[in-house]
Amino acid sequence: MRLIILLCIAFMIVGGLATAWTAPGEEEGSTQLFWVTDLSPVRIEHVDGFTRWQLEQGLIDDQGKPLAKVKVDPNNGDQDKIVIQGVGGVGADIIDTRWGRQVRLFSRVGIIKDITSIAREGGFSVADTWDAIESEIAVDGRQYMYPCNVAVRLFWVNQAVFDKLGLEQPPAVWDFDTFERIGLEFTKRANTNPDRQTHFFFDQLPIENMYRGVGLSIFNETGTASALNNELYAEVLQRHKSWVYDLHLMPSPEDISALQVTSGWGGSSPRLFNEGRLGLLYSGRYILIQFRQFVNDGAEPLQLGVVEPPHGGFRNTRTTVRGAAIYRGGKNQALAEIFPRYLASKLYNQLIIDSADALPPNPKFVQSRSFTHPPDWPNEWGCHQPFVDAMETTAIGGSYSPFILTSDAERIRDRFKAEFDAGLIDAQTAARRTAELIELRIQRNLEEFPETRAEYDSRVATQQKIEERLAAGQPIPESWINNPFFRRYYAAQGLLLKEDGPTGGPSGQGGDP
Amino acid sequence: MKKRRGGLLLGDEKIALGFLMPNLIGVAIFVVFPVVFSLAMAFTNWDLTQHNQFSENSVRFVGLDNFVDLVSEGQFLRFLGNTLFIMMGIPVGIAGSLGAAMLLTHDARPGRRSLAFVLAGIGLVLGVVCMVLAGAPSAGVTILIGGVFCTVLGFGLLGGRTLYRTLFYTPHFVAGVSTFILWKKLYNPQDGPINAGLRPVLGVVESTANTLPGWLVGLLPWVMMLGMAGLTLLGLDRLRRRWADGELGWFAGLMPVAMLHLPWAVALIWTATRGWSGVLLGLLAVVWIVQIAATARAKDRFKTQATEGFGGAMFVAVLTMVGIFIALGMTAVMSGLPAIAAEGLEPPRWLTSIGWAKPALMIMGFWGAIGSNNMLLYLAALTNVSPELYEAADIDGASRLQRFWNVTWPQLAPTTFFILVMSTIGGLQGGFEQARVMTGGGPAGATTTLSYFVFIEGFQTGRLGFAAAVAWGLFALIFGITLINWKFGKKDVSD
Repeated sequence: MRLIILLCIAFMIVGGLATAWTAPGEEEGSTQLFWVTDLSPVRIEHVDGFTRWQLEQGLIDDQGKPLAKVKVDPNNGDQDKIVIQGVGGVGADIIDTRWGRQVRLFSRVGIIKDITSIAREGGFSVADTWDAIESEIAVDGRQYMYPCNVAVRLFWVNQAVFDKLGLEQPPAVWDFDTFERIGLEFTKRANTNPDRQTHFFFDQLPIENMYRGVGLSIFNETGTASALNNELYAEVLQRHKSWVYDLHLMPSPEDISALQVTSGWGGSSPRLFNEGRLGLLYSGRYILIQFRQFVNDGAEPLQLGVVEPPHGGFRNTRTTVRGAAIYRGGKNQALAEIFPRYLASKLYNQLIIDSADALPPNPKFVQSRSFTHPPDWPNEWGCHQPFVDAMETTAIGGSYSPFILTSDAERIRDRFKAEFDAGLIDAQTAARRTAELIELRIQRNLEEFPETRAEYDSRVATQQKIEERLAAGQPIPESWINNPFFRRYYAAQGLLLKEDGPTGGPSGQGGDP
Repeated sequence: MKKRRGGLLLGDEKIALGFLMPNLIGVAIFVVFPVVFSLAMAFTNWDLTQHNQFSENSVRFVGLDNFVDLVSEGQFLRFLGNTLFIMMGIPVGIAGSLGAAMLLTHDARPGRRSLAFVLAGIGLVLGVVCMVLAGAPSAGVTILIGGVFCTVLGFGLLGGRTLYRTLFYTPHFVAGVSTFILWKKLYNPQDGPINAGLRPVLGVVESTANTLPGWLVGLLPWVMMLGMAGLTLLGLDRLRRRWADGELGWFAGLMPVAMLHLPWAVALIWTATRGWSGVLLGLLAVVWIVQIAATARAKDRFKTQATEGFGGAMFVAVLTMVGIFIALGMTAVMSGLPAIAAEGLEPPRWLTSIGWAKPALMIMGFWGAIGSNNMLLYLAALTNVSPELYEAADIDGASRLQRFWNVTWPQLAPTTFFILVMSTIGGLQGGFEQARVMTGGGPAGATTTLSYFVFIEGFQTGRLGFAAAVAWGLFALIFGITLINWKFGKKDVSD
């Protein structure tokens, strides 16, 4: 028996040594940086570009090799994993950080580095990117990431489908009623099988776009409460539900599974759109990566158009950012700081333009014919500029409160929306309970962080003054409003009083609770 | 010479300890320490997003706040409700595994008739394959599954019970995730084989309901309510007899009696059956009058302790309660049948429907339970039942049912008790993988169980203190129920 045990132990030791001996070791020279990001088909190009850029910039070691090389880690990009691994001390050197909500979460957790000063010195500061995304990459005036790309989501139009159905092309700007009317006609003409719906008007439209379209935001002007306890939000909930379950303009989750389409990067919707089973696709410019892939795989190039999402009186689009943040617990932070410099370079921006991976981080690079008229893709001409126009006119970043994490607030919103969609509560109750629970969570955070109480009380007082002015039909001073959405909304309504001097700025709208 | 202590040489003790030490250290580090640590966590405000190595905030002791939040936030109770709902399938699962075990004790040796089955099965499969190749619609998939069943039946007859035992045990050794993905496909509302099979059946029901005279359709909910009353009467009668025979104390009988009334309470507040509240109360009153009259008529009663016989009574009550709930569900369906049939009967949307998601998981759990370790335990226990007992029963002229009820069932009592305890523990801890793989806890939290809630709070929301409190709340539940099982159930088993 002893002999058997000893043999087993010996076998394990030999096996372990053999595994260690044969495992691929790190190459000498360049330090390896891990980048948690998605597995976009163009990501390899971006990684290769980093190597080329370092060589161009002379960022090389004694052997002439680049100082760092990046390895993509597509398997650990879930928010939970990033947080758990980050606080556990084993986060990736460079972390893909999506939208302002993740910037706030990760900066509050403390796993990403404040890069304000190095960004200013390195030419990748807030001033070196689009104005509309300041609130997405900075918190309380401190910058935590630089964009890998910037997106604004519009509706892509499969023009051939509309032509085939004998419908006019959709208008560039439309309201909810027009959208619904055209959608009904579309689904009626497109679906010839009475037993089963195979064609839908559009794939998705986030509820945030819809309530913003009627002048609402998840937070009020000062971020001290939710603005969703409103009859207009209840109407929006009802309309959204009817589009899915009554009018079937948009597929429900079970519709999607029943359509049995293979999924790929970007989900199953691009494939449905490519097959003509969706008239509209809600996405950013980055979806062209997938459309081009379809053509490379033998499909005909799509006749494409781009229109705004529908509105309920207030035209708006949502800008989003995927940025690179640096892990605070990483061993190679100094080298990782090179990476955002690369993201701000002409080489990288041109790569983004050429690969159609949304909009480049720096807006100055889109002023070129290679952006608006890519020579290999004439079917896309006319589709690129609308994204730039939207970024400069209708795009608004997220709404954030310093008293509650947006991810928490959105989880509450989604919970009651799901309960409404499931028929458990009515729309009014969903609206009321969403606002109530968000406010309850804010009060709890105030108890947890008493140092934020003074700021909260001050903002509550301001909020009261705002409401008094609104009731009297008077304009609101811009500096009173912390929520960028309301700044834009009141400006459009002629209710914003522009002031000289500091305005508070979007970055002052929400730090850590 | 080494000193002896208790017959063991001191040197041997050291060697034994040396061999045990790696395991003991592992248990201490990876089990004991985390368990104790999580208990401490449950009394703190530890939030991963605020208290970690990068943060200067320190974790605070918050006393019982997290446990108060368990109740006050409402989510815990809701998800506990989900867990208990899904656990209602446990008695059915146990019955299924017992039934499977009993089937598998019989040998199925081939004869001429079995060979015909095999040939018919193969023929059916080949026919369906041809249909699918020729572009047959999705119903072909359903027929294909039917064909596979036929073939299994046939080959089982050829291979005997060994093959059947292996097949029946399949759900247990197939990896959970792949099973769940398979079931997700089966539950696909549009193209899933389950709905493909249901559609023609519902079509027949729909046309029948639409053509039947109105008065006859109107009778159906009455029949179901009578079924509810009948089952309640049966359950109460069993409990009353146990009480009269001195097998059940008055105190131990309170909870089982209350459980028999749970479906009635639900019926009175459920919107689908609330309209029938007058009739329901009337029926319940009749049931009670009958029971009181029977009690009054009885002359003698064996006296017993107040807490005697809880386990056995609970077993009867739970089984009957599940039956009453099923009858209640059928009452709701039958009362709405004319209106639903007029609009057209559609199969359920299963995992995406708030009303069907939990039953869908229960059905899947039932399938898993039939071919689980429970079945193996029953198989082993059945082989241990003494043949003399059956012979004695045969000599007494017992029927097959009497043989089962008076010989097999009592002999299996220790096994059933063990299975019940383990299934209850498993049920309370369960539901995580299903929620993670199949439903994401939805729709609208309908399939979020307590174990999934711990995951959400711990790893998605980051409230580690609260998650630990949920976990310990769950532990307290499991411990409490297991204690009750041991205290009351074990005695019954021994008796």
